[in-house]
Amino acid sequence: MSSTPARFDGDVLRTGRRIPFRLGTLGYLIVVLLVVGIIGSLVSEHFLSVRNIENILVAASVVAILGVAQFFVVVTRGIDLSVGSIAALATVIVAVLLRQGHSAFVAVLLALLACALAGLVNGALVVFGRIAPFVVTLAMMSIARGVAFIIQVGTLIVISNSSFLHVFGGKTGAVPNPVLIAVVVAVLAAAVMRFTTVGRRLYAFGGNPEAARLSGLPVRRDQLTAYVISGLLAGLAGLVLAGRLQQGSSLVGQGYELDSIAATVVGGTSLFGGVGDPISTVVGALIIGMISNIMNLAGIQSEPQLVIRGVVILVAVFLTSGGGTALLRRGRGRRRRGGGAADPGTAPSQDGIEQAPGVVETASSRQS
Amino acid sequence: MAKVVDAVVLEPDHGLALDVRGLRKTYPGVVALDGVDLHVERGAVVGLAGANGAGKSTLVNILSGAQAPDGGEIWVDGRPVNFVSPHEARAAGVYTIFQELSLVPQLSVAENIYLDELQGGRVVRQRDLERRSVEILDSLGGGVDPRDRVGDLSLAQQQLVEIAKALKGQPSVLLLDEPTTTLPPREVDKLLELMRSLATSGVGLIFISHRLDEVTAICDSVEVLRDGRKVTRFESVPAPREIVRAMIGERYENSLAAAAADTGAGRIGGQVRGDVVLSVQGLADGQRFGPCSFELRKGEALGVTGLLGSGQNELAEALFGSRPVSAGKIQRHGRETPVRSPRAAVAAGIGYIPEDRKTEGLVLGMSVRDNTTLASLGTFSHGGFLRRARERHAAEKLVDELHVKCTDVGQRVVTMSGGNQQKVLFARWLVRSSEVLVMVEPTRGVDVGAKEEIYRLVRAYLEGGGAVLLVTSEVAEASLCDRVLVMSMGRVVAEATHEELQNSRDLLGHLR
Repeated sequence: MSSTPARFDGDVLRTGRRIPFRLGTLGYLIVVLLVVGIIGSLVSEHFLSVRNIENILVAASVVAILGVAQFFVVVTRGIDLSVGSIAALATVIVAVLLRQGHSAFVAVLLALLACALAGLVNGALVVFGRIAPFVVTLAMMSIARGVAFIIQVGTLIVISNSSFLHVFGGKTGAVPNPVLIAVVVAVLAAAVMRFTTVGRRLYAFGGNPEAARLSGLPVRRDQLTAYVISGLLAGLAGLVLAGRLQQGSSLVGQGYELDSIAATVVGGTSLFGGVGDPISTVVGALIIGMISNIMNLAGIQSEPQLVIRGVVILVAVFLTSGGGTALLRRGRGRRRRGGGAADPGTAPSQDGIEQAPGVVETASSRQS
Repeated sequence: MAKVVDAVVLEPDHGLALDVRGLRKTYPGVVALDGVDLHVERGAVVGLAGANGAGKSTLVNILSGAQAPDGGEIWVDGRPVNFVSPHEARAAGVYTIFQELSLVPQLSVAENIYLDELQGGRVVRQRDLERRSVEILDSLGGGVDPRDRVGDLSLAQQQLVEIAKALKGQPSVLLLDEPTTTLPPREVDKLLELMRSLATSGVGLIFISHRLDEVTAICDSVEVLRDGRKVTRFESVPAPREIVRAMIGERYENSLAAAAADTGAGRIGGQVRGDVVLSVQGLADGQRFGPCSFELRKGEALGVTGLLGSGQNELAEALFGSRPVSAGKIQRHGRETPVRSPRAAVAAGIGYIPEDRKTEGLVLGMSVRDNTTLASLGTFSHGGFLRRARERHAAEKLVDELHVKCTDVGQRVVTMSGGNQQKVLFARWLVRSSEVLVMVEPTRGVDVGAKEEIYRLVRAYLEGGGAVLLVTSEVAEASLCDRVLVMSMGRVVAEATHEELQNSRDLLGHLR
């Protein structure tokens, strides 16, 4: 008795899912990526050259890894301003350890461990110290860079360990290793968010911390996890930087915190938490990387570039976390209603409510 | 010729302070108001009744200027008005006092009363404000010093300030939305008296309260809304029972929902089967509630009620580990079980349905499925990896059993109605097989049909061997339970069985 209706239900559901013809966030991002790419190819004939594309990818891979690091914190309603400094710290630690004659393996391990520790301190201060993430990570941004400077004693330290340079700066076949690392990070992060309980709990906490807590989830541990992952990945991004620059320096990675935030918000992650995914963040990093590449090819000075980058971030935040969210939703609702007309049963009423959640909420919350 | 006739028809009655005609308001997918009329004579108190979802709040929102109507007319003192903001509504002579007062606690009484004049960078003459405030406050019976900080006043005094603020603008119509909910009984009587004397001075009053005895005590006539329409206007004061019948319609007569709305007998429980599943001894948090002790048996529904702020909500939080306690023990099946966090409570088989399902209960952006399995991720994972097919299957089963209306378990809960959202929360603890369920105001903000369904779900849960602690500020809702604890000032001051409550309506009055 129960199995037949269940199967019938399934059929209805499957068709039901097809009705709202909708481009997901990732879909929109890929469209934007293509548009930016077309603009790039119009601006300069060098844009589509293999060499240039490789440049874009390698440069974007560091921002992509930092973006994923940032994502884990932003999805829990936090923000991590220390990722750039922690990356710098990683370059210095690994350079110092390699200079002291440690093996690449040990050097990398210890560097990553130190960065994870910095993340843990961030998380502990947020969770147990109850200090706002902005303040905690702003302080860590200063502390990590300061520590990097102290450790390095003097100016930069050159890295000559060939196996380290190969792993983080070389190529596998035709593909630069930084790109491979970024792809692996993105895929792993996406899998964690999508297929594991940790990912589900992070989304739940970001979506509604109180609901997560009252469902008995280990909310403190989860928040700590997010900051530790962020520190760890920031360290990894630093190692990639060290491999590319063949040096450790407390001065690298300045402004990368901004780039990483830009990548997450351009990738559709809401600064209010609970919404977004790592793959989209990586595409966001790619879009930003392409835009600055095009500006370089067009011969735009670095100062105007800063202005343009700031504007891009503002537009992205407006659309993902600001007043533009309503705008997007309305636009999407209109389109869906058009698409859903074929089946009058489900879609219209549903997006009708979605269209004006604020109104419906005030109406019902006043009732007693 | 025809035009003249039309004009005559539209000419409003000059005895009316407020004349609302054919008011319409539609939200996407819902007709909230479908041609509602409302007449308020000068010097009269009109009660406005209606179950949740009847359109009461929409009407209040429109009359307060928070929302614009889609159609219909509003006449104030014989003049057609059209306002699109709270400010304009006040200017037009309609002043709304909400349950949540709109006072600034840091400012003085006088400053609060004249808040809307404190703009535009003019110099404020404190003494002038205070002198004018005294006049208004005295006309209301006094007892409040204009120099007092509003934050230091009692709730009743704050309400007086709010009314003074309203009277300053000499309104034609004063709308009071649930003004008595947060007041102790003695203050309620005072407020009703004050409303009477305001009416005598010529203001038209609209009074909304879910306590129907208050409505019948003070109102000259009662308007009842249902499903966005006016269903009845009682020109003389009816019995509460008649109002309830008009409010909820014949379909729900003799239902639990009707019982919860203060008529007839009804019982959620009646399944008590022996063994104690939860025992609380001397639980106290040292601030909001004192030592509380009680036992909860398998299949039992225990109601905990009291005026808002009597400590019942805090007791529920403490029981679920969400509020630190200073003393007391909690035992499950006779074994001491420290509940220091919600996590520990969930592990001990206690579930919790919070007062505000939107801010505390659900992750609104998540799907029905994800919200359902949120407290049981351990059961739906293997080595940290989610078993999504099992999740979907379990959620679909519960959606089916609880009659949750959704197109798919992947639908986000933000798009669902209050009743359906509440069912999703219920499903969360059913899927977890929690033995004890602590529910705080479980039927707030849901319509009659959903209310009935929720009561039936609770009953089914009790039949399945669960035990429920139902915390509610509605005495009538609490009296659906097998046993009722009444709290006041953080203490349990009375206890009664279901039978005792049914045999003595006086007892109910006493508890209130």
